[in-house]
Amino acid sequence: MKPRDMSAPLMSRQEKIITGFWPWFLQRVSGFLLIFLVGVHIWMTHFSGLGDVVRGHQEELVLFEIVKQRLAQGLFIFIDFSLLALVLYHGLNGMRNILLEWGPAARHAAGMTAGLWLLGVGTFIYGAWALLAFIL
Amino acid sequence: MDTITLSVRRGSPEQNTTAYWQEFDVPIVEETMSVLDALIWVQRNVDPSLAFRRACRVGMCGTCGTVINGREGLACGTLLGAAAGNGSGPVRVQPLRHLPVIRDLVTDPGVFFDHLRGVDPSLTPGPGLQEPVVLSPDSRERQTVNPHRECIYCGLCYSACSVAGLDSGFLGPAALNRAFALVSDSRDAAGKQRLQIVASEQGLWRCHTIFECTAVCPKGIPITRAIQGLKRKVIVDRLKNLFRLGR
Amino acid sequence: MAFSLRALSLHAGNFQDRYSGTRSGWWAWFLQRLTGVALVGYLFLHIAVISTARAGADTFDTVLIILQKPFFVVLDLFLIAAVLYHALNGVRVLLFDAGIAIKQQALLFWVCMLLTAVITGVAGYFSLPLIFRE
Repeated sequence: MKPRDMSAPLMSRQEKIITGFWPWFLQRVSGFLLIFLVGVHIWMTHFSGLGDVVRGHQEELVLFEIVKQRLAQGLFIFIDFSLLALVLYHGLNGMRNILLEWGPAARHAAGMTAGLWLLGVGTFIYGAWALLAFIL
Repeated sequence: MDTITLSVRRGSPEQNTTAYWQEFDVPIVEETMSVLDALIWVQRNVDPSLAFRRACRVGMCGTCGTVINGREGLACGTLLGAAAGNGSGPVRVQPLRHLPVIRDLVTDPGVFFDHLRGVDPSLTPGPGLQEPVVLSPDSRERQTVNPHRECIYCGLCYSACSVAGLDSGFLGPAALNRAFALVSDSRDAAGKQRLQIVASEQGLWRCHTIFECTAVCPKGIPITRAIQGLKRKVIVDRLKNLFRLGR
Repeated sequence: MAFSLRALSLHAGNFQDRYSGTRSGWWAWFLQRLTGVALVGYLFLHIAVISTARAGADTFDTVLIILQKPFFVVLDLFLIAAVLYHALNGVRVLLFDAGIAIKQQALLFWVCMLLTAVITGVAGYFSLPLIFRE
């Protein structure tokens, strides 16, 4: 922590060091939204078709055609792309939180954060490209 | 006479000794004997070189904080018999965590007080306040502030805090609790500036509500509640700013 | 302030010296981190698996049929338990941030654990036909 000039009275000092608020706040917002998005995602892929598989109407829970049919609906395109973006933000922001409390990474916090952003954006592009295989 | 085994973590970095445990058989002089009484007995009767800190012996000064059987506690406020589980021990006594050891049970509390100084722990009176300014004892404000002013700065919460152990730059429970006591006090005029300080990266946002600080506080201060209170104040402040920006 | 590593190392020898906590609040935090890191690892695996769709529908189906064999259905139950715990404890922390139920934190931790166990159990029960099919 940077040593602070304690000579001047607090009232006259300009402290402009709010830095951790937005990552903290957005972690909560993304986490809250993910409860619903992940809930729908797991339900659709693992449980909604379970009866059909058990009764033998359907070979497997997840196959290319099944995903393609689901992603023909605009709502699921929206859900899957939001899910991809939010889960990457929430996961990598969480990793940043852990790394900030680990000396070697915390000493290079700016570089570490930039690296995580790069990883996140890159993975989003890759994941979106993969998803488009079902849509286009 | 019955004895209880006291096992003390000893060592001195200045003399380059590696830490070791040393056991002492302490006679139960009195049923209500505390761990501090046992340490004093050892120092007087067995090994005068045993180092520990103490002052008041009645839980007011916050000097004799140690880790007893793996849990933070004031040595004066922990009964030896109870710590031994009403058996013969051993009762393990260690220096506080996350602070450099000077010798045996004596730690250097420098970083703890540096963080306290970091939040400017003294009241900054607003202009035009005529002394004495009192908060009425039955006012809501007084009820909110009161428990958080009980702190004796013993450092137990800092030692118990898992985050302080990972990141020595984290302000820590005691400093944040002090900031909450001042920010919630209408006589203090530096609330906004103090909120800015505690909202820094190594301030509030490093608290992950582990509740260890609250569990070990010898004064029963709801420290986590204070930190959460500060977070809410910052949320309101930030969101207000955001909407003002939008206009 | 002289902050010597050697002085710290005198008591930073093992886990017990480093962490005071083995109470519910500490476990809640530790498990949140553990499941969080595990889920991030799973996320990258998951994206890699889905991206096989780019190699064509047949490749995707071949991979996905393997991944729906009983062994992987059992692994999926661990995944569901991790997601559930992380989400439920996330709600617990959100409540604290809103200033709600801070005093009941220990009780809430056990509620999270119980709900995780119960819902995973129900999911496991309904997945039994998938685990025991030939």
